[in-house]
Amino acid sequence: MSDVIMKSNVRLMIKNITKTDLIHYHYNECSPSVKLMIENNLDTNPSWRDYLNHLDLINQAFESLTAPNTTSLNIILEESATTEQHSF
Amino acid sequence: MITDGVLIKHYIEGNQGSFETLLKRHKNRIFSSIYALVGDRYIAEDIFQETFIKIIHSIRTGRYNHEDKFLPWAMRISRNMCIDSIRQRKRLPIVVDSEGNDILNNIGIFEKSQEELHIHTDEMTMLRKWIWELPEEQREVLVLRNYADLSFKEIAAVTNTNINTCIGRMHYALINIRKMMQKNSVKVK
Repeated sequence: MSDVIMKSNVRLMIKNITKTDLIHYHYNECSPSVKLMIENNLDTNPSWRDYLNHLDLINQAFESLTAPNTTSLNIILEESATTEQHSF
Repeated sequence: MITDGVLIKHYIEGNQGSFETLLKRHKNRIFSSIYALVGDRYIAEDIFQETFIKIIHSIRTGRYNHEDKFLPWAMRISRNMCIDSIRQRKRLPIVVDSEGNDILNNIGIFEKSQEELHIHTDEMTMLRKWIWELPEEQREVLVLRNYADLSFKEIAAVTNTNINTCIGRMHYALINIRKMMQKNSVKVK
């Protein structure tokens, strides 16, 4: 997905920021230079902010992590401790 | 913090506690991802157990060679089991009640908690419902990124795709959610 969606208003922009960059930025996976570029120009690009807000919202929709029940854990631990373990 | 690779090495050497540490470290991420993919707590528990039993057997038979990439490897195993489970369930015959509704759906409703029954009462629960309605491959990227905390590179490896495909799926998931929000007049605050 390489489509350019938004152009920064800043003259010294090295590259155009794409949605791919914004997704990487949101999940902390972008390069430091792209991160800096986005942060420096976020205020002048409301569409970036809007896109990031939607990503935030989706994150919030994911409820806190759920734990498996104790029975499952006990079954797994029993399996991991069986004597077979010593045969390898 | 001892790395996953070292814990596995210690377990192979006979240290049971190392496996327990590994299980405790990853249980919630793996279980939540499975639960979010299959949508049923009981099935999720079964798949979670099967995943770890397969992990144990793979480690014992010397088939684990991913060093510190334990989580993506475990997620690949659980994801394949989720896919098998979903396929099996799709093959089940649909039994309908007198009004033509799938009775398995009705059972699902009765099994949900009181809190879950108020599904339409707030925007966040609507959003969760829409995420659940996304095409499987889009939902999968969201789940693996948000619950399993895998990077896009790792998701690409787990799902046998490439990073651009994963990012594209994430993007289209967002477009679909936005469409549903607009249709239902929900705004991002």
